[in-house]
Amino acid sequence: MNLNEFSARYRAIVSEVDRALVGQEELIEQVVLAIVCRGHVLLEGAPGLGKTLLVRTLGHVLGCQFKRIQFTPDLMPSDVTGQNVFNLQRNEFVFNQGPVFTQLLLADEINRAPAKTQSSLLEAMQERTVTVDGKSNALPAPFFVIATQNPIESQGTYPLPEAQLDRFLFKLFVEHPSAAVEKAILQGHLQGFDANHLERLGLETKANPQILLQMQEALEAVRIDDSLLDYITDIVGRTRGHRNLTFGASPRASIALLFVARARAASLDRDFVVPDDVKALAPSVLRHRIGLHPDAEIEGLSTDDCVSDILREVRVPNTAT
Amino acid sequence: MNLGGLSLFLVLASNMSPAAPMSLPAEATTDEATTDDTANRSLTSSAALAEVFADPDFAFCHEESFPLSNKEFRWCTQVPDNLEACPKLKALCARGATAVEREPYNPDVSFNFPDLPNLPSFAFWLVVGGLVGVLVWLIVRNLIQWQPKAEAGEATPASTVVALHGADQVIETDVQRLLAKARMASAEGQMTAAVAFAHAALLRRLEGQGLIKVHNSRTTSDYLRDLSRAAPEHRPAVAKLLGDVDKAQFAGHPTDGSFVAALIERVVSLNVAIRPLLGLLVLGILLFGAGCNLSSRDDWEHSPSGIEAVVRYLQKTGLDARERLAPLSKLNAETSHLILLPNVSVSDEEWELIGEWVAQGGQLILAPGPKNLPDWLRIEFDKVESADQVVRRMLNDAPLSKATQLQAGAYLPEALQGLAVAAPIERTFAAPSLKVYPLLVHDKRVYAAALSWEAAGGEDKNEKKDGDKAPGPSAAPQREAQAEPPEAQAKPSEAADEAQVEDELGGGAVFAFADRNLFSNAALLVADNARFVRALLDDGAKGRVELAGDLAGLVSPNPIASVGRGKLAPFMAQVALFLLVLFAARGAMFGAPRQVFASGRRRFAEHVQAIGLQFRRAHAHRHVLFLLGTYLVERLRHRARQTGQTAVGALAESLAKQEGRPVGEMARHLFAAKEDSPLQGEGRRARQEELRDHIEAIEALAALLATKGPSAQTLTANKTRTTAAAGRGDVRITTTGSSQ
Repeated sequence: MNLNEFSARYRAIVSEVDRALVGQEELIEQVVLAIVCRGHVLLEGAPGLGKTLLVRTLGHVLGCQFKRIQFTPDLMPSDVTGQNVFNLQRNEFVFNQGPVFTQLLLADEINRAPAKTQSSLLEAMQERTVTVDGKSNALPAPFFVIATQNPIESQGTYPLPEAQLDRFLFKLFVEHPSAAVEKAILQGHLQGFDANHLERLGLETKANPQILLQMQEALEAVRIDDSLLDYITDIVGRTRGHRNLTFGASPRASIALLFVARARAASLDRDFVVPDDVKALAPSVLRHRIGLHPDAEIEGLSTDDCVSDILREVRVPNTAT
Repeated sequence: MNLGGLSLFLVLASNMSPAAPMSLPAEATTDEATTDDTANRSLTSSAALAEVFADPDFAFCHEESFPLSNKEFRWCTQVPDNLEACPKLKALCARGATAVEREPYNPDVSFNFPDLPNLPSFAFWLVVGGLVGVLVWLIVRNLIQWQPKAEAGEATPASTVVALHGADQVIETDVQRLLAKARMASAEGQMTAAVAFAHAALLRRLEGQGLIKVHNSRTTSDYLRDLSRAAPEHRPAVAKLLGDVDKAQFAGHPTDGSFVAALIERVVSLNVAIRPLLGLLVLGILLFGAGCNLSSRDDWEHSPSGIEAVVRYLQKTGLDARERLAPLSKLNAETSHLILLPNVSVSDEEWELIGEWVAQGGQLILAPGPKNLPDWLRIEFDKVESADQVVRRMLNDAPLSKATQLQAGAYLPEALQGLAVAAPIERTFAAPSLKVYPLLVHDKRVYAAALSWEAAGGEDKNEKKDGDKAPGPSAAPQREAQAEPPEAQAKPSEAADEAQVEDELGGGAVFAFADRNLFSNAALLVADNARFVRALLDDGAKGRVELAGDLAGLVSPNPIASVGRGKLAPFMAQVALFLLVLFAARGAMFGAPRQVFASGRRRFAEHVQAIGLQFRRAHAHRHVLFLLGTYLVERLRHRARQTGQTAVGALAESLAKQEGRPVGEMARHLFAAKEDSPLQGEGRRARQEELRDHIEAIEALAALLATKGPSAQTLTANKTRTTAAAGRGDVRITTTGSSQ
């Protein structure tokens, strides 16, 4: 697949998902970018904004196997990964695959499960394998986790540990729609749209696992200038010494920024990365990988403010301004 | 009678007819005894005048478009047709008055710096000086840094061109210099730098038009967003251009000189119109500035009503003449003649000093000087209602006769006699003192007056010059008697007044003129005025002749007064307004913008909240309760005067005794409050029970601590009140969450 085909396919996927999830084009674009970069996405937003619908629609449009786990406080790791069950007939333990064995996994309200259960996804997300009783089981390819969490309710929730957060390529906010978009949603429902019956919408499958793998490989043709590596390093490096942050982003963040910048360039039909690509995606890549200082939190600052602050400080490469 | 059309002149010679022609040549009106001397001076004066007015600065003599004011136009009736020294003046008169009259300078400045004591004043000026120093240093530093590294076309070291943003590199913002740098870099094969400079030139150009805001952290998308808001019609063209720049910089495609040249050409030819609002604003400011001078005329000193020619003329005829800039309070013996023009500002102290200076032989000429004349001069200027009234006032309503005029002229210095003087009349003065005589009178109109006398013990300069009069206290009366002044003026004279005047004025002389016309550029060109002025000052004194006008005492007490004196306020307001618009349009180009963070102290409660937030995130409820419990126990121990002890039992006994409760209950609360072991309960509910027990123990201790006063008896007696105090929340326990 060349980059032109990549761009066309990307746009087709985005526009198809956009038919079901009205008014969230930027969110859809970034989720699709994460998928073609083999990354996982953490969605944060109030209930009822279409997070689950987005993932279900993506599963349909991408032609990927889709499963959903509703995280609850009593969810056990084995409920996610699966477990060995003794087969009396065969007189042996047989591995009973959990819902993680899918291509597109929706981890709904992931912060409602205790840390132990959350951590059961660590290996799956990073290494795309699941180890049970010392035996590793490969997950199907491609494998993506799209997790959601609700920022409103804090009672009975377990904030994701930093190690878990670092596994997510993007943390995206699902914002409330504008009045015009909300009206369009209502009109869609009047015309018979049902989130539980996406097939009625006539959504087409625009990709399949093989195509996604080809798209992932196509990104290798995107050139990135050496000066942009400095740019990325500078941005990520400044998160580690920022006055309002207790800890900065890891090198994994730099790597993530590198690859998503390439994906964005390809999606815009470019075979080279420009500073815009890095800058546009830096907040989504960095906001969940940095820790806000309590003082800054009291002042009402957010990690996005810090990232914006850093982006204003870092000089764009090859500029004489 | 229309005073504006009056032309007055007088021949102050004993044999001169008052009906002489207006511009009668001096040689034709003088007697034989003075012909040679007058001719020599005339020759000298004419040559000096021609030389002075040949200067192009005196535009009214060389340009037919020079606008005359109303007062200047009144000279036109005196101007002869063929005035060689000033050939265009007659032509100007034919155009009429077109210029706005100069407003008199008002030296009153309402603002004054506070009169501070020494130390605060020193500190104030130290701060002001420091600020000025910093400002100068910044300007000098910027000037040094903004010097181009090399002129365009010169061979420039590659490092200079290539270094786009070195540590000490000044960011170039000028579009033309950026383009020149791009061309230089391209010529040297530094294509990356060339593209960067061309890119910067494009951005700076857009910024100059107010379409975008340039910053080194901004990217193409940022600029295009700006452009979409400010000028969406230009977005496609600029987007294409910026896209090509991105491609050249980051796509790895080789770029060559032709690409850079084409890029520069596209930047130059980019058709970006100035923002209409900004353009209108700038235009308005420029028009505002231009409007300030639409009806006025600068360079009044070289105009017909100025004094520049007078000064030059006197200099060329051998006098050390100049316009006085120093304050009159510094008047000294180096000055022999002081001519006070109407706009001069003289304080009472300065008048006193002038009086002393006159007494020491100074020649004071009021032309006519300031309005606040001191009493000892006994001169009071009035506006002229009509020429006849003036004459009547001068002569106490006595009829003016030829004899009066002749007698008046007799007191003039000999050199002044026989000269024709002409000028439009403006005003005259009332002179109740006997010592004032009309100096120039013609056809019942007063032009000027002279006040001249001799101090007791001093000498009469005029007579001294003549050499036939000895100085003495009776010189003035003798002269009066000899001259036989008008009877009407002699009547009000009293001996005491005369003595007083003589005492105050000493050996100097005071000449009072009704207006300043004689000391103006135009006056020199008419009749014998030039020679008259020269002769008036030609009394043998070797000192300096100074003309004191509104510039005298130019040294201003403060910068605001200085601005006011220089009439720079409109200009400075215009500059400030322009800078404001420039700032709004182009941003702060004078320094690197940086984010300023507030460094104020936070309230203690906010720190506690922040710490509590951290504990909550770490699910450290138990640990927080332990810390609070330990604090309460230690406070109770301090209250019970058991500081330094560690045993809980003794404290429990003490508290039990105070509260009248069982020792076991107190001990249980004390132990429970300091519990730091992990929660042992099975399940969430059991752990919550553990936390609740811990909280209850702490609340019990807090209730004990909330009791005021250290006395055990008081604590016991006020048990009920203690509980109530705890209930009011004097000691509050706040726990966060209870999920574990």
